[in-house]
Amino acid sequence: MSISPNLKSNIKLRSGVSGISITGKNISKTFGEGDMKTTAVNDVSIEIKQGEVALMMGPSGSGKTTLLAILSGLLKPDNGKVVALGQDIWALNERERENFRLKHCSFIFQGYNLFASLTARQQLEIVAQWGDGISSREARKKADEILDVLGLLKKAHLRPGELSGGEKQRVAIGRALIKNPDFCFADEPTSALDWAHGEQVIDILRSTAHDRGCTVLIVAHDARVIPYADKIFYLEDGKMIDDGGKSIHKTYGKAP
Amino acid sequence: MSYALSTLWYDRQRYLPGVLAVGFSALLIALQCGLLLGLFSITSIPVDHTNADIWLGAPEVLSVDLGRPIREASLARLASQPEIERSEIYLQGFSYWSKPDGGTELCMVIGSRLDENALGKVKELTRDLYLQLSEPGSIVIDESDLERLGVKGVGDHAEVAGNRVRIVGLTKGLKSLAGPYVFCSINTARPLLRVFPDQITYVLGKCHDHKDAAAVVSRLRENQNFSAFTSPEFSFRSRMHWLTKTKAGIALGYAAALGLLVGAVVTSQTLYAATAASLREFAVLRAMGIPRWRMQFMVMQQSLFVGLIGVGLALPAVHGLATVADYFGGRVELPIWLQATAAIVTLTMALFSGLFALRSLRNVEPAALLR
Ligand SMILES: Nc1ncnc2c1ncn2[C@@H]1O[C@H](COP(=O)(O)OP(=O)(O)O)[C@@H](O)[C@H]1O
Ligand SMILES: [Mg+2]
Repeated sequence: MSISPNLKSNIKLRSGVSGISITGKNISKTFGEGDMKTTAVNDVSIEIKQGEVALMMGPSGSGKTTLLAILSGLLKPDNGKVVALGQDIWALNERERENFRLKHCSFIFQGYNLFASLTARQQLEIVAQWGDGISSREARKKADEILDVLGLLKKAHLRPGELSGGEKQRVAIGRALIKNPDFCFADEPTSALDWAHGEQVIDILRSTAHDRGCTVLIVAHDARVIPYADKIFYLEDGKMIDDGGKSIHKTYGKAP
Repeated sequence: MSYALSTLWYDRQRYLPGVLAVGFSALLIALQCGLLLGLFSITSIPVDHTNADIWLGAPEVLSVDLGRPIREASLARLASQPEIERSEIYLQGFSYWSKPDGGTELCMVIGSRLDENALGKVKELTRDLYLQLSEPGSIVIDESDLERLGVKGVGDHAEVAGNRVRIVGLTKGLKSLAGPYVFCSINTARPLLRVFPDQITYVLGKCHDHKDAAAVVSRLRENQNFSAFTSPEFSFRSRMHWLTKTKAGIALGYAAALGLLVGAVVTSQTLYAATAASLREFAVLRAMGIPRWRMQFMVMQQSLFVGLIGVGLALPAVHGLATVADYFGGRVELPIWLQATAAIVTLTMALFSGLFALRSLRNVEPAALLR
């Protein structure tokens, strides 16, 4: 079901922990009723190891976002089960699931979604302060560390309106990383960027997975992301296609 | 805290209507109340600017300027109280002023004793003035009333209730409401007010210790022939009478409620719109598991800041406008309690607006990010 492209598989796992981080079993999700009924995800099973970069590809409308939302605890599946870090997350109640996301999950979306009124630094601090309840001093220190890693320390005082698309997406990554998550779910994080910046973003996500042991699930359209993935899933019409990469090659051409 | 403030500052154009609405509400309340207080404080000037601790007047007298004649014998009743140090008679009432060039004007005649320690002599009547008043038919008016009374100044003659009077001096800053004050001696006042020789309007008293006034008053109240008040009571009673009699209080209440309502609507809409503009950003935080109350708290902080800034802008403006009003002869009283009340009422309004604006956060759903 997964393809390993010609990748250097130098996956650094956190010592002692290796193995399955998240699994989805027989997941289905339909929207609408009667004539309007769409099966967005149709009996899909998926498994991702800790510290892996998993890439999910497929044509538009194939159910990638829906599957990502189900795996990340945002959207309840009609059928199936998601087990993350040993927890059946859809068996938890709303509050417990929210708490699970608070402790373990971060998100990056295509549209950055940064507060227009806050500086790059504040976008990160707000997550640390509101999420972990740490002091503003500590939050600032943490934020600056992350921004430094992302090469954004000099721009920490700038607001989204003064940042380029690539910089904004890196700030969004910073916001995702400041809580040191176990999972990072990225829905088309590069689609709004040119490849030079998109590559930067993917590269950061990759080192996040490999250096920090964060499990990263990326939904992407661009075939140039393929070499950065440890594992690739391909969806079509809500179904997982497991044909040894033929579909991927057909859709995206030969992986570079 | 800082996120609420940062957002407020960065988006100040967006929040400005809310700030102005709060400020305007505070301004409206403080200034209107202040104007009314100022206006009706004029009605109690004879009480507030004299030295008596106790006022004895006709039964059920409603306001100091509405005193009816009582018998001079009442003086003895007050004088016989052990706590009383001194007591004296006092005349006050409306009369008619005939201008030298024709035309009449309502005026308020006040006849009091004129010695140095006299209780009924307003403090604006300086020694120079009250010494001149001992001459029969001499009066003192306030310089602000010269035009209204159709006279030019000291030395001019006019008629009050058909009696010739001569202006021997002018006071400063004693504004009047219904009719200009005409200060004179008790003997001059009698014919001007057309009262019988044994009739007076009030008996004033001073206690050895002014703290005893309340006890004396409560004792005297049992007497059916007159009513008794401490001066603060009588001052308040006079003001409240005109406030309610003229329905000004009701008008004020309506205006204040309307101002608050408009302020609340504008403020809550401002906060609502500002929050709604960041729904996707809040949704990301929600996706990451950050509890909703953090965002609600931020909206409430914003409403508090909007309130504080609004009130902060309003209070200096109120003082500025009060000064302007003063310049044009209006009178605005701004006691601290009034300013505090206006501030608290509008701050509460801002917080309620914030509560109302919390509705916008209900739409914060991470699922909104999936499209
Ligand atoms: N909230 C929704 N209501 C109705 N239909 C939806 C909803 N979300 C997604 N769909 C449908 O489900 C299918 C899969 O959507 P999505 O997961 O967004 O695909 P992808 O991310 O691969 O483009 C599409 O046909 C889409 O129209
Ligand atoms: Mg999608």
